[in-house]
Amino acid sequence: MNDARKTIVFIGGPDTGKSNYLFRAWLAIKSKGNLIVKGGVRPSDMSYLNAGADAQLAGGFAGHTSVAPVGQPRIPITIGNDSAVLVLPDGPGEDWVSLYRTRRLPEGWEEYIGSSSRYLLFARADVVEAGSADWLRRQRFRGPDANFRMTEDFRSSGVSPQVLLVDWLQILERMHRAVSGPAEPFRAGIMLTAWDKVDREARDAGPEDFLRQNHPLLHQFIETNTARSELRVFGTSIFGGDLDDPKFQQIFRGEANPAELGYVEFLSSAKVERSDILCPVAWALS
Amino acid sequence: MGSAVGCSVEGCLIASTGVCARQGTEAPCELAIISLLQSSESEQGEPAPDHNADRNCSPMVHVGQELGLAEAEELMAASYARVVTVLGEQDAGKTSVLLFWYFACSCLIAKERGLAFAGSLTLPGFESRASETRQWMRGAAPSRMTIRTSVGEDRAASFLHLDVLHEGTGELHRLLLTDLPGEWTRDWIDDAVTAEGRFDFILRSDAILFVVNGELLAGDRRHAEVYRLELLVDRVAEVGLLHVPIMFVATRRDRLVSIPQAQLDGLQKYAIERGFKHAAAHWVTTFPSSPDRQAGEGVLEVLKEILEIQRAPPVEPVPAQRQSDRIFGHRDVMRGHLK
Repeated sequence: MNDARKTIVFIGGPDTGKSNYLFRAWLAIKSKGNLIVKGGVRPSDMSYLNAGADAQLAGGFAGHTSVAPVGQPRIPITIGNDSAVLVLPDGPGEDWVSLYRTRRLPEGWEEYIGSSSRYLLFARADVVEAGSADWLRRQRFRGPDANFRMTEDFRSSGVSPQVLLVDWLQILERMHRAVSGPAEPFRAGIMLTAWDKVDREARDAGPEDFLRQNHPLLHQFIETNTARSELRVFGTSIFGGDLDDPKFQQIFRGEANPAELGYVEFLSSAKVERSDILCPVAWALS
Repeated sequence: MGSAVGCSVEGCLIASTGVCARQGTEAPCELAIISLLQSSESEQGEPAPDHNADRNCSPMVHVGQELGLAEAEELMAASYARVVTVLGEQDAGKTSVLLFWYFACSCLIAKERGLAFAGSLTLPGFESRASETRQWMRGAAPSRMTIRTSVGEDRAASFLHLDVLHEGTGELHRLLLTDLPGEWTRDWIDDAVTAEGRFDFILRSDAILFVVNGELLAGDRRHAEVYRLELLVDRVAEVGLLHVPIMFVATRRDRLVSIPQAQLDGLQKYAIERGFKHAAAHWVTTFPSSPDRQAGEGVLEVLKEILEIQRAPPVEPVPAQRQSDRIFGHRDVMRGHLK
């Protein structure tokens, strides 16, 4: 891949919030961007972006059934004098999950892995960790007899999000280095979406601590790999509150313009900082 | 432009059916040939055990269920790796021990003991081996918690991979763990020549575990089990591995009313007298049969001991005419003709 323009690739399973973050980012970029990220050349085929923007501006999330990507959803942006592009690879989120199973990248996706690529990996903060279905974990939190009181079959419950994310990070890093050499930085952001659904105390402790409590394999992987890779965790809330919470719903349907809501939280120098929705994009391209 | 999977292993139809004949899964094994070209010519050709070698091809995804020797070598080249050979007959509990090291990493128990998870290229491998442990039947003692390891006729040894960071020293430890079917150990005990070729990799071991079902050391079969284990110790000694630290790992400790310590001590003594420089013994419980015992008792101690092993000193220099036999096909030694 010879294109020097940086590419931010969105990665994640189905219903992890990739599309809704893309639409929310689009709304932000279309209006005024942030201090660092501005709009670029407007894409000619806007049907997908328009449908998603429409759903969010009308006061809700763009769901699976309401919009389907046509072609390659891309948002050109500018950072200073440089141009970059946000890309949501064509195909259902299931393709990333099937990568774990089949060990084959979907056709055409290898063009996204290059020296100019940066990656944003998505996972829902409110999805119950399937790895709680593990002997040692249950024993640890509920006592040795907890496993003997159970009658459940979790064998087909699917792979836990933390295993998928560590697997993808390793796959992407190996591919990235194979294509661009060991000197090129591998930078990936972990986007914990629906961050507003996490209880206040956990949010205040920050997204890294949340990972440590709920996805310890992923948390350890990030901690032990900071020397060779640039990995950062962001708690993201598209609208700044939980749409299932009646109190927030009132605020949301009242005066607020959805295009101005939302935030991202991350750890910086041991403190939890809050910033605007485009912050992960700016970080990925810095 | 996508990638095509092909395979030159006889009888493998992955190119058309999408299923690997050796693994029975959609994921290709390490002998698959994966190329960017769609033409049928690209689907035949030399087996490419190291499919990352050609950087002009689409970058490939590591197989994930386990690593073949070529992939393991790639990891060894990148960073010093400890090869841990895990021997033991059927139902000894070998896979359960490995699985518990993975579980301990994924729920912070290992971290509390100072060992942090730093990566694994065989996450799908650990997860698929863990699958049977995720079915609960109230009150029932699990009789078998892992699927029996089995490999096809022509299959070479394969490895599970685990990187752990020792937080005290800041040192990264790369572990390559064999997951062999019990039949291989049984065959080697019964016939050195039958096992020839299969165990070539053992010459690279940094540690060797002899896993034995602890219950067998206590019952009527105890003398027969000790006899077989002593033969296994002899086999390992005969291929020139007296400098490699060995550990006897006796499983199912929780099911024993009285621990047959004499049998285990006897084995340790036998190994030392045979000439092994370092021979240890551990009792472990992987999956307990009742709520009174904790899963994983003693298992992390085995891992910690492996990590504390000093790098194995070089093997005795071999006479020039034997140089070509050195790394693979140490055939005369395997037959017991040397030493």
